[in-house]
Amino acid sequence: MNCREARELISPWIDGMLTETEEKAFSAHMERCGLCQAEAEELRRVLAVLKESAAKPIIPPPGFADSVMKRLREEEKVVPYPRRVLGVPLKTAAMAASLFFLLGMNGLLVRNYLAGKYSHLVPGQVSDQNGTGELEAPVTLVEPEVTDAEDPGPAETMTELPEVAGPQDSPAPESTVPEPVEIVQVVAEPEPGPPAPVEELEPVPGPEPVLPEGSIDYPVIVASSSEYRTQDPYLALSQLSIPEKEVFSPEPRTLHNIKLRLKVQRVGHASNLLADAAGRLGAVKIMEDVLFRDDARLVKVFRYDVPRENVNAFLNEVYTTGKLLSEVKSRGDVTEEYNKKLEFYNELLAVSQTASGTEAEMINQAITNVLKELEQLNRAAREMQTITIMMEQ
Amino acid sequence: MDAVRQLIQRAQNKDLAAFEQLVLLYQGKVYALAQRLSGDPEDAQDLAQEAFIRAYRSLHSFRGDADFGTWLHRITVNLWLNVRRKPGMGVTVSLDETLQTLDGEMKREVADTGGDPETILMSHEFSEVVQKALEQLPAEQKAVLILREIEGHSYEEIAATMQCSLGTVRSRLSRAREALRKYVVNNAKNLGFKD
Repeated sequence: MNCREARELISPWIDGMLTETEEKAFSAHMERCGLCQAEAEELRRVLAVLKESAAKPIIPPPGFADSVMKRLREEEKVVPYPRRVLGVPLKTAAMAASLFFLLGMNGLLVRNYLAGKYSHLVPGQVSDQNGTGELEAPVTLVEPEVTDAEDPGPAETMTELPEVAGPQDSPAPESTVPEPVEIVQVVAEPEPGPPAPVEELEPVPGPEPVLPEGSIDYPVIVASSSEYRTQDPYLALSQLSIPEKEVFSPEPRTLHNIKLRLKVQRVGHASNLLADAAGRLGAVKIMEDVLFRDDARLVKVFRYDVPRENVNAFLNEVYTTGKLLSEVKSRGDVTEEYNKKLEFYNELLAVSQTASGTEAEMINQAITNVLKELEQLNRAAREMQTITIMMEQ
Repeated sequence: MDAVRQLIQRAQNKDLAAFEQLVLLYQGKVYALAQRLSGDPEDAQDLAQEAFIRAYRSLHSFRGDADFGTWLHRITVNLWLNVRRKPGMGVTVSLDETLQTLDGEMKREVADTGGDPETILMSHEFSEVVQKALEQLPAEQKAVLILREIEGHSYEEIAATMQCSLGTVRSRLSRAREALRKYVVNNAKNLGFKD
C-alpha cells in the first residue's frame, strides 16, 4: 500500500469502517510512514475541533413550534365557500358582480383584463433577477386579478377538497350555473327574493385603483410558482409534491376584492411588515407558498385578497416596505467598508505580535472592536443580498 | 417509541394536535440541523419550518419501520441540498490550488505538524478557521460532515438520510474530511498558527 492509498483509508479507519484486509494493509503502512501518521493525527484534531465547536446546544427560537402549527392550521382551515349569496347561486352572483365590476371600471386594469393580459408594466430600471447578489430595486407590480369570475371557480375548488366540513346553506348544483348571457339579466333585474341588502352587496364601481407613484417604473417578470415547482428536483425525488391549495378565509369574501400576489424574499423581515399591513387593511392571505431562488434563499409567495377600497393603501404599504428595505447602503459600499476594516484588522494583528504591556492591551481591545464591526458588516451585506419584494404576475 | 408511533398514526389521519406533539418532540433536532446546515438563525427557522410543513404534507408516505427523526433529517437535508445544488450556487474553493504567502508559493499538500497542538486547539480563532472551512465545502460534503461529526450519525443512518449507499457515504465522508483538513491546515498557517 502506498501513501495515496493509505490516505484514502484514514477516514474510514477513524470510524472503524475498514474491512479486515484493508485494516491489515493500512496498519502495516502506518507503522512505517510518519507522514501518513501525522496526517491521520491532524485529521483527528481538526475533527475534534469541529465537534467541540458544535458542542454548544442550538435551541429553536421561542414560539417555533407555534409558528409551524399556525401555518399548518391556516393551510388546513378550509371553510366552505358560500354557494349562494342572498338567494343567488354563488357562481352567478360572482360572475354578475365581476361583470358589473368590469363594466363599472373603465381603466387600465379592466382593459388589460379584457385583453387577457397583464403586461401593463412599464419597463424601466431592471432589477437583478439572476442572483448575482446585487440589491434589487424595490419592485411593485400589480396584478389586479379581477375577482372570482376569473378563478377556475370556487365551487370546483371545493370539489377538490374532500375534507371540507361545516354547514353549507342551500348548495346549488353545478349544472345549474347559467350562461353568461343570463348573468347580464341577473344584473339588470335583481332577483326579487332578497330585499334590501342586495344593494349593499353589489359592488359599487369606485375609483380605479391608482398605483403608488413610481411603482410602475420597476418591471418585474418573475417565473410563476408552477415553473419554480417543475424546476425543483427535490420534489420529484421525494415525491413530496404539494398541490397548490387555496385557503379560504373564514369571513365571506366580498365579491369585488382584488387579489394580489406578492413575492417576498428575506421572509423574516418583509413578510412580517406585510402581515401587519394586511391586518390593518383587512387583506386576507389566501395562499402562501415557498419557492427557492438561485441565490439559495427561501422565497415566499403570498396571495392576498384585498378589499377593493383598501387596495391603494395596501399597495402603498407594499411599496413603502420595499423602499424601506432598500434604503440601505449599496452592497458595493458595504463590501468596500468590510475590506478596509479587514485590512485594519490584519494590521492590528501584525502589530500585536510585537506589542507588550498596556500597548498590547489596547491593541487587543481594538482587535475585539474591529471583529465586532466586521461581523456587523458581514451581516449587513448578507441581509442586503436577500431583501426583495415584488409582486408577481 | 410506541407513543411516537401512535402520534404519527394520528397525525397521518390529519390530527393536528398529534402533529404538534411531534413538532415539539423533534423541533430541537430539526432546528439544530437546519442551523448547522444554513449557518444562519433566520434561514434555519425558515428551513426547519418548511421541513415540518413538508413532513406533514407527505406524512402518508412515511413508513412506520423507519426512524421518524431520520426521516425528518432527510427532508431537512434534502431541502437544503436542493437549494444549494442550484446552478451557480455556493462558493467552491479549490483546495488544490497553490497558496501565495509572504514566503512565496506554498503547496497545499503535506501538512506541517509543527507548533503546539494544545495552543492551537484552545484557540478561538482556530475553531473559527474550522467553521469557515466547513462553510467553504461543497454542499454534499458539508452535509455529510455535519451528519457524521456533529449529529453523530452512523454510516447506515447517513446512507438513509442522503439516500445513497454505504460505499458512497464512506467515500464522500473521506473526501469531505480531507478537504476540511487541507483547508484548515493552510488557513491556520496563514493566521500564523504554524511556522
